Amino acid sequence: MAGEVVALTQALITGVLLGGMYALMSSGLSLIFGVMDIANAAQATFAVLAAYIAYWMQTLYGIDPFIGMVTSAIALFLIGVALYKYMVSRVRGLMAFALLYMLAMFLENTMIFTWTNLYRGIRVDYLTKSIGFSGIYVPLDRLVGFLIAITGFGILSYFLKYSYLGKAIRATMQNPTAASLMGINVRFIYLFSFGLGIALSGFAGTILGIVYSFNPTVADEWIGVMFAIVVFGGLGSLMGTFIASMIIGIVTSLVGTYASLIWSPLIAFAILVITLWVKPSGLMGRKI
Amino acid sequence: MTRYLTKARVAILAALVLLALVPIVSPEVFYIDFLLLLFMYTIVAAGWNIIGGYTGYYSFGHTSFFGLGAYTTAILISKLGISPFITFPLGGLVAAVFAFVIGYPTLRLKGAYFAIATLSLSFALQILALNLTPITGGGEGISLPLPPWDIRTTITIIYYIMLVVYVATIGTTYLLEKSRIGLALKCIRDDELAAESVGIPTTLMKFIAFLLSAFFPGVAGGIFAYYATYIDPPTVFNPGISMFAIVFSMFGGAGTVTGPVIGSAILFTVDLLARYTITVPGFDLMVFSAVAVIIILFIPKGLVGILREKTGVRIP
Repeated sequence: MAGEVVALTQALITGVLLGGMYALMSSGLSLIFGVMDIANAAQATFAVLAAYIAYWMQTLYGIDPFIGMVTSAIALFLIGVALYKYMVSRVRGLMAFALLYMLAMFLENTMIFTWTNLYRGIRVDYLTKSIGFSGIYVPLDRLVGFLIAITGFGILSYFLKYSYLGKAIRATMQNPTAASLMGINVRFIYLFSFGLGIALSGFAGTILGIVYSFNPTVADEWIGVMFAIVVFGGLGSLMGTFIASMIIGIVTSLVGTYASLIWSPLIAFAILVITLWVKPSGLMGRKI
Repeated sequence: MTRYLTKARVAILAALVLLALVPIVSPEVFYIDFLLLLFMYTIVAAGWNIIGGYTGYYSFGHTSFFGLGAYTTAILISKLGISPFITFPLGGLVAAVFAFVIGYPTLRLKGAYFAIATLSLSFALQILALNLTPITGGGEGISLPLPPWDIRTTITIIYYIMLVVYVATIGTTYLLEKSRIGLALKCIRDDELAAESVGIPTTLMKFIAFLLSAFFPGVAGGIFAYYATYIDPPTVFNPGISMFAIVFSMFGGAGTVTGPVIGSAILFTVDLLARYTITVPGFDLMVFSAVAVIIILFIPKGLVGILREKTGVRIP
């Protein structure tokens, strides 16, 4: 293949893989945002916590990170439920955002306090290789991360679309009052959705820890991008979140390849500002 | 009521005289330094209070304005040799112009959307400052020429400048509180639709609030750059500054004149004590954010709000 084609293909593949990572990171945020209109500023910080859980399980007890991933997802579900029951349900809207932002700061600094600011990475021996053909390389860990993202998204969409609980969640999303009149326990739906949303960052965080190196402050870099994705994709639409992740991932990768790596971190913010300016409801969202 | 107000005025005057005397009386530079930084955070908090407290638009990126002011001063002094007394207000103006530019897309947003937009913009500015190396010096930051005086004189001079801006910021908030504009802002906070329907020019009012709210932190940022003689993106575009502004104001009482003043005085001291007692990184912000969570959950009206309810006096 000609050099330019290889470079373009490589940039596109990297972009799609990055998009998968973005989609996984943003799915929980999108769910919580969509169902209860709460902007969970702590979502990325919980993902980092999940990365630490998987990291310590591997480092201290030699447990495979993929088992660690499930464990941290369960742990985060419980944390999420408790958090919603005792704190988040007391406030709403803007104050919920402020509360979760402060909780994120608390969690982040507690992690810095206990585990320091050192960069760490979860090492998975069987995933350190790359698949290569005709000069194009696909790192195996990113590919697995992408597949998990796709599978997770598929399961989540199926669950929301066809299961009884999923239908109840979507009904609550559309109109909480009407849903409660139809006999749906809206408080339980909120509790469950919040826990589920946080639990999703358990998967995302572990993959994050495998693919990238992390320390407690990387959450700050992620949360801005994640908000950009959810707003761009449109509130309450998982499909929108997925498409937005792919677009931002691919554009970021293309800009990094053809313009300069300097500008690629700004892509998400530029898209966020343009979205809020031109069409605040995003690609597929309902009107706000 | 009149007697109460006169008493309050006497107290404020006495406090001001005391603050003005500190550099003359204080044996140690440490106390002047402490008060100088306290003024700085109070200015940012009081600035935030105009858009956040009075208007109900919670900016989570006030560090943008602080950082822009700091960079304006640093660049103008180090590259063009302009006098700091000109660059300080210029920094405020640059911050206000930035507020004007971002105000157009963001001030139409409600609640958490405005918070997200301002938060993201402050991240974006930090990345820009890191990457526009020819102008900002990138990650290496900018070193400013040292002021021509000895340390004590320098700190004393900067102290007085900061004190003037501090008084100006609080004074502006007080005038705002007493004016029709302040009333309009509070209307917007309580119910924007209703405010608009009774004829308040909401867009104009929000812009006035946002510009004022950006100006003072911009000036404070410039003074900080001159005081620190070195700035880099993580220091002046620090999300921690935005957080301090919000929490200081909320603790004292968002949407009141005295709130940010009281809140900053107490919490800045607490933060300093936490930082000096246990020096492990992260500890002070851990304590600080825990306090912030408690404030949001249990005393959202702040100390002034509680005092108003308890005493029945409408403290400004």
